[in-house]
Amino acid sequence: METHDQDNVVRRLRSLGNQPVEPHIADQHASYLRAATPVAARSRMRPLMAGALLAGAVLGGTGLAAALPGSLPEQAGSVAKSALAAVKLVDDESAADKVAKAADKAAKAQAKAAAKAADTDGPGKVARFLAGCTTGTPPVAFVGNHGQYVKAHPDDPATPANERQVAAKSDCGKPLGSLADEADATEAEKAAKATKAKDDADKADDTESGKPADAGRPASPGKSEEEHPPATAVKEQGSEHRSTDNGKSGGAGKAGEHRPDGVGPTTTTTATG
Amino acid sequence: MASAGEAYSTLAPAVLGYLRAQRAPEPEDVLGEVFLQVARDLPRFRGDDDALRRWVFSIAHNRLLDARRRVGRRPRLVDRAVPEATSPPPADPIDPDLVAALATLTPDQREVVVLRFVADLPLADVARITSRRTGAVKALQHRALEALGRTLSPPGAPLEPAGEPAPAPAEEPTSRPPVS
Repeated sequence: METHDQDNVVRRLRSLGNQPVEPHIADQHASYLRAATPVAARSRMRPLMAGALLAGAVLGGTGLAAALPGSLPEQAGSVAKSALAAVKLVDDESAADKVAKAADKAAKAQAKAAAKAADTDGPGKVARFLAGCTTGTPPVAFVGNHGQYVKAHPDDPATPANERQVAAKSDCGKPLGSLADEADATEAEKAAKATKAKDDADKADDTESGKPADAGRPASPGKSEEEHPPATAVKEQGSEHRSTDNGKSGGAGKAGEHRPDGVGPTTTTTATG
Repeated sequence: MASAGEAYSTLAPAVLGYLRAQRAPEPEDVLGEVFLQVARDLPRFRGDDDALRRWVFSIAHNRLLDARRRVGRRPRLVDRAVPEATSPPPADPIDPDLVAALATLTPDQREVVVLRFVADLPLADVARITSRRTGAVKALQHRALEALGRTLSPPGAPLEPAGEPAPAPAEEPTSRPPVS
C-alpha cells in the first residue's frame, strides 16, 4: 500500500515537470536567447583566437631563432639552418662570410670612386688637358673634349679675334697622351711635315693656274669641276673640317696654315694624312 | 543539443517545474536567467543529452540560490501602499495540493525529491548537484516520499509538517480513494 502511495506521488511529481511554459513567456525568452547567443559566441572567441595567433607567432619565431645557434647537434643544426634559410627565416651566411662580403663591397666602392675622380671626360675614360679652360660668361670651368670646347665658343668672323679660332688653337680638352706625343716628336719629323705642307700648297697653286700639278705625273683624267667645288664652297667646307679636325689631329692643321684662297682643305687634309 | 533554443524547448518545462516546486520567487524570471546563461556558455559545453540536463539543472540550482539571497537582501516596503496590479495575477499552480505538500518537507528533502523526480535526474547527478553522497540522497528521497505519501493520501486531511511522526490513526482506513 505504501509503495502504491509512493508511486502515485512520483507520478504527480513527474507531471509537475512536464507542464509546458506559457507561450508568451516562452516567446519572450526565445527573443532573449536569439539576441544573446551570437554576440556571446563572438565576444568570447575573438580575443581567444587573436591571442592564440599572436602567441604562436611569437613563440614560433623566437623559439626557432633561439634554438638554432649551437643548441642543436651540428648536423641537425645545419639541416635546420639551410631549411630555414630557404624560406628566408634565418640568414644562411656565417659571420666571417658577412665580414668578407662587406670588405669586398667597400673596396669596390673605393676603386669606383677613384676611377671616377681620375676620369674627367665621362664615358670616354680619357684624361684630358683642362687646366685653365673656361667657357661662357661669366667663365665656368670646362669639362669635355676639344671639339666640345671649340663649339662652346661663338664663331663670329666679324670680330678681329674670332673666339672659336682661338679656342681651336688651344689645347683644352685634348687628351694628355696626345699632347705628350706631340712634345716628344723629333724636330726632323716636324721639318718633314713642314716640307710636305709646303709642297701641297704649291700643288694647289698649280692646279688653280691651269698647270699640271706634277710634270712627271700624268694629270688625273677624272678631275672635274664637280669634284672640285668652287672656292667659296671649299672655304665653307674647309672651315667646318678644320674646326672639327683640330681637336683630333693635335694641332697639325692649324688655322694659321689655312690659306685664304680656298685651298685650305687640301692643305689640311694632306697634313693630316 | 545544437542550440540554446532546442535546449529551452526540451528542458524549460522541467526547469520551470523545479523552480515552482522549490517555491522560487518569480520562477519565470529565474527560468529566463537560467537559459540566458545556458545560451552564453553553450559553445563551451561538451557532452551528451544527459550531461546537458545535469548541467542545466546545476545552473538552475545556483540561480535559485541567488534569487533567494536577492529576495532576502531586498528591503520590504511595508509602510507604502501596494500599487495597482497592471498584469493579471499568476495562474494557480498546476497541482496545488502537491505544491503545498512539498512545502511541508524539509529543504534538503524537498531539494532532493524535486531534482530526482521533477527534473528527472539519476541519484548520482542529484548527489553531485547537492554535494552529497549517493547514500545520503537515497535516504533523503525515501523519507521525502514517505512524508508526501502520508500527506497526500488522506483526502481532505490537514497537512502535517514533514519530519514529525504522524499521529497514529484511530483505525486503519479500509478503502482509499483514487488519487487524481
